[in-house]
Amino acid sequence: MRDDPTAAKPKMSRRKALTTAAGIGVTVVAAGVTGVAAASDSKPGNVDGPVVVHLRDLSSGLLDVFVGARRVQVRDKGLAAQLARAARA
Amino acid sequence: MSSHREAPEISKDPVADSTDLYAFVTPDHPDTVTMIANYLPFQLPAGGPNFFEFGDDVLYEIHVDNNGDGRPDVSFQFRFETQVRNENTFLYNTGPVTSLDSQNLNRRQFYSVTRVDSRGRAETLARKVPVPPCNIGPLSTPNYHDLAYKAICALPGNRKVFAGQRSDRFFVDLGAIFDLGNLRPFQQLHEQFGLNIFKAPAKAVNSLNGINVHSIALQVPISDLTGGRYKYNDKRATIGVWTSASRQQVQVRSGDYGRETNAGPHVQVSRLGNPLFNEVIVPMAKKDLFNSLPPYEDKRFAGFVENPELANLLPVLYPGVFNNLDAANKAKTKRADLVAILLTGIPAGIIDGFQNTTGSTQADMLRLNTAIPPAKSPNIFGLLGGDVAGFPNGRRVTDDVVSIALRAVAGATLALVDKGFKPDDAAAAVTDGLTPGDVKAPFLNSFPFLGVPYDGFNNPSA
Repeated sequence: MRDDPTAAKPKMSRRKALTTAAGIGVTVVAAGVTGVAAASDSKPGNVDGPVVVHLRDLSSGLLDVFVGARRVQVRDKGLAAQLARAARA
Repeated sequence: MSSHREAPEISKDPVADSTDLYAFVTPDHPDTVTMIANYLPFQLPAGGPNFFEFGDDVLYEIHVDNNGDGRPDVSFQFRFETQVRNENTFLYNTGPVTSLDSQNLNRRQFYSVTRVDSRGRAETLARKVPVPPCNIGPLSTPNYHDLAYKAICALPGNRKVFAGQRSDRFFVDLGAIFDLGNLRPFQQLHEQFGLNIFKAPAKAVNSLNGINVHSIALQVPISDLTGGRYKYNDKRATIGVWTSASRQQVQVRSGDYGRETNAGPHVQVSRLGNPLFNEVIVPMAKKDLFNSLPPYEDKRFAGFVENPELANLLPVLYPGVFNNLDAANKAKTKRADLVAILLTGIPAGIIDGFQNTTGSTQADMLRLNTAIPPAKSPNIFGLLGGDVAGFPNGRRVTDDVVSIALRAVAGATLALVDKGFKPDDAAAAVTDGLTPGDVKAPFLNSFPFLGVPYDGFNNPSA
């Protein structure tokens, strides 16, 4: 499976991730999924749709950010801590 | 079945469940290949008021490998979109539907077709192609054949496409096979576990008679897939075909359908190359994994092909019938014949005038030697019947893949690679007892080949 290479390749700021995550909620999904398309995982672009954030590991600040047809891995302990606080609210 | 509900997880997701894949050199256009991928199994024709449709949140693909590495060199992607004309009625249609843009058709589906090459370059071949409605009955969908025919869409590059409901062309006696392999024509020979219920043969029953599926059919020039035209003994003439369905990794439900959020890369949830591979060869605990992987990963399943569970079951279920197979099993004979048929293709020198090898990469793909012309008188047993234009050289809609697979597993093809092996007489005769004539809906002689779907009014129960 390959994603559409012509699809928008969003770019996301830390503020946008936090805003969207707070709006949608912190989504927890299974990690280590096989068969995930990797081709479009790392190409930056504009954010023009919903963003879903998966806080995978609070201690290391590891986050998966899902936007459009992409998954972006982020390591940000501060952002992870903020998301965890939001999730506990 | 071929691949209907073949794995635990996909059986709960019918919209993304691939059921059959066909690929053959087109009889009426032999410079082209026709590929048909079926999805959404076991559709009862009367299953309204919300009739069957493709998933708007599923990415459907047909892939072609033309260099034997088990990776796609050409992929065709199909994305669907549903529109509702009148949200204030529960009706699928509000009157007879005689055209694809009929105002009486309340729920319409459209799709786009995109071709992606091996470098990931995408070309959109068509947008907003209409899907015909399901076949409801004589008042709602009069003259369904003509209505659906209008949904065949010409694409650039001398290609054509159709997506919509069709009658299921697969024929199989599921009730017998899944009752501990009790093939009705041979049921008196079954071990029967001491119950001694069956004393005489019985006629087989096609469990899929009266059942519909949703098909994506595509006809493209051979050179569109191979990059040229080659002789049959040139490896470049052979392609490997498979279909897949994928969903985005994340879905956030809102409780209001159509307003959910889908995000992230697509994850493959269904895959189909050779009929019955995941169904019969792959053990239950690995079937979902199989569906998530690309063909180039199939080396990990090769052990199940070399020593198939079904080959070990046949001598147990039919004592005294498969003695030579039993001896081969006990000698731990690795089934190189099945590895060739299912994972690498048949090399030159095994069958006169034929080969469809793709090299050493083990990958479950439907291999088609595009230089083999269509047969003038097709044999439903394909290669086993001496017809090199049939399965496992691609697959035609009339090929009896259940019997071919049964016979191959029973040892009919083992002698091709093991000259010391003598197949049991039963290996050339074993069958579930059905032929294409046991399918009520006739197939079509031209694209899209699969027959008009059964309508709900005249087929109110299966």
